[in-house]
Amino acid sequence: MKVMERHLKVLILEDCQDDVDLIERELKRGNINFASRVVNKKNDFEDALKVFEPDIILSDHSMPMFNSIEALRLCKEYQNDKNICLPFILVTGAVSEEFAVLCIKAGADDYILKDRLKRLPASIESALEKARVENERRKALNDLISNEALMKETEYLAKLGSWQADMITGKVMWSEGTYRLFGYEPFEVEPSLEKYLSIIHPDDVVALKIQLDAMIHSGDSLEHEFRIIDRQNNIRHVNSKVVVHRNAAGMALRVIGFNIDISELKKQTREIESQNKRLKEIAWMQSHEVRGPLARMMGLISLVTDFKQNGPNLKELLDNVVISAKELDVIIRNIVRKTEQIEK
Amino acid sequence: MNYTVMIIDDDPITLFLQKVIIEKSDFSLTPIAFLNGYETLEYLRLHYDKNMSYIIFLDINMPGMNGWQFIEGLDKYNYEKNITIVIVSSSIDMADYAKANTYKRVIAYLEKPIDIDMINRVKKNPLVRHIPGDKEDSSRQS
Repeated sequence: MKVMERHLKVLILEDCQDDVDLIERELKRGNINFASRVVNKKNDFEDALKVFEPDIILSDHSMPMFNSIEALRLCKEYQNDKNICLPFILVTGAVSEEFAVLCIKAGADDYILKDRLKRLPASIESALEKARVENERRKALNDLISNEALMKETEYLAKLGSWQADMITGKVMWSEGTYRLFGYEPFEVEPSLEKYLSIIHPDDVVALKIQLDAMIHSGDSLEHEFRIIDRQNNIRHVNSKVVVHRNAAGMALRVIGFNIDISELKKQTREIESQNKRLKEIAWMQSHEVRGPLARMMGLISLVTDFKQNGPNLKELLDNVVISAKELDVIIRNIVRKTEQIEK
Repeated sequence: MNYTVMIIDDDPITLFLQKVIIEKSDFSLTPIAFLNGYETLEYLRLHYDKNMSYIIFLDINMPGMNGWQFIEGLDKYNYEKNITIVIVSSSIDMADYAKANTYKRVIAYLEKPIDIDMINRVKKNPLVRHIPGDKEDSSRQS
């Protein structure tokens, strides 16, 4: 018995030590490997829940300062807080049929009469199994909820919106991100293919329809870019990926699409392209315009260096050096101005 | 056979400088200077002599007709192989250098400023005929 193999933490609510001994003896007989804690007051019970963290509770019905109905209520609160399932078994003296039903309704998993304690190990086994299944169900539900929350967060951060269309029923679904991308509040309008196409930029809608129809007819996926005009009349650039799910006969069942807002990326690309153009202009100026007067100055200075009386006039050479230097100055100022434009 | 050296550059100072260097190198004592390609084509139209060799030092970046357009202009007139071009440019752009190689008339590509050593290297170019100072050449200019 798998459940019994592990070390079980048993919280016993009992004011009578003889009964505690009887319960523990029965657990040992049932080959249950366990550690127990015994309490009989409300405060101790609450502390034990938090500190001892029991796997199962075995509770007497009534104690001088506490009772099982109160214990069940506290146990429920604890279960709700921790979002776990903690089995609770009543171990009592003779009680009425009605009372037993009341306890089960209040959330107890089982009740065992003290003169029928032999049934205890089997009851524990079954209650633990029930709790295990319930805990798994809760975990799966939790994962689902957190996955959906993660998906929503992802859509928000990545400016992503998804949609799907059921090809059999014609039903269309938009995610919150899709509404946001189109400039709507989530679920503000009824989603439909017509509504979707009405948001696409008029210049892009024909090409988009042709591509979508071709893919639904005979393709399996599609990636393309288009523009949309959102509700606030902003043009946004969108990158779209679409896949179609088919049955074995090749019939299209479902079409799923993801749209990403790439407007910011487009803007940055345009800025980089314009910077590149200006950088190329500067490179051209460096190569052609700067070298012109510089080459002239170099030529003139080499003539000054081996100046001969019968050669060209020295003053004329030097005047030309000054003219060239001034020209070079103007060109370099132009380059500085162009460079400053790039930084803006 | 005789030869004529011509220089084309839109910048008067550069033109003056090249004239001085070409004269000092004894390449030619009477180079003819032009400020643009139109004047040069006009000169050739009036004075072209098929028994004469022409060596033209040509700038590329000029307003109006640039160096490339000038070479293409020459080709239109069916001038024979006796007109050869030496490109003289301030551009250190590899694209210009590559483009110069596509014209058959271009025998050298010089970067400004030109000096006497450069002119001497052009003289040694086997494609340049009738250059004074070339020891194997018997038809020296007097």
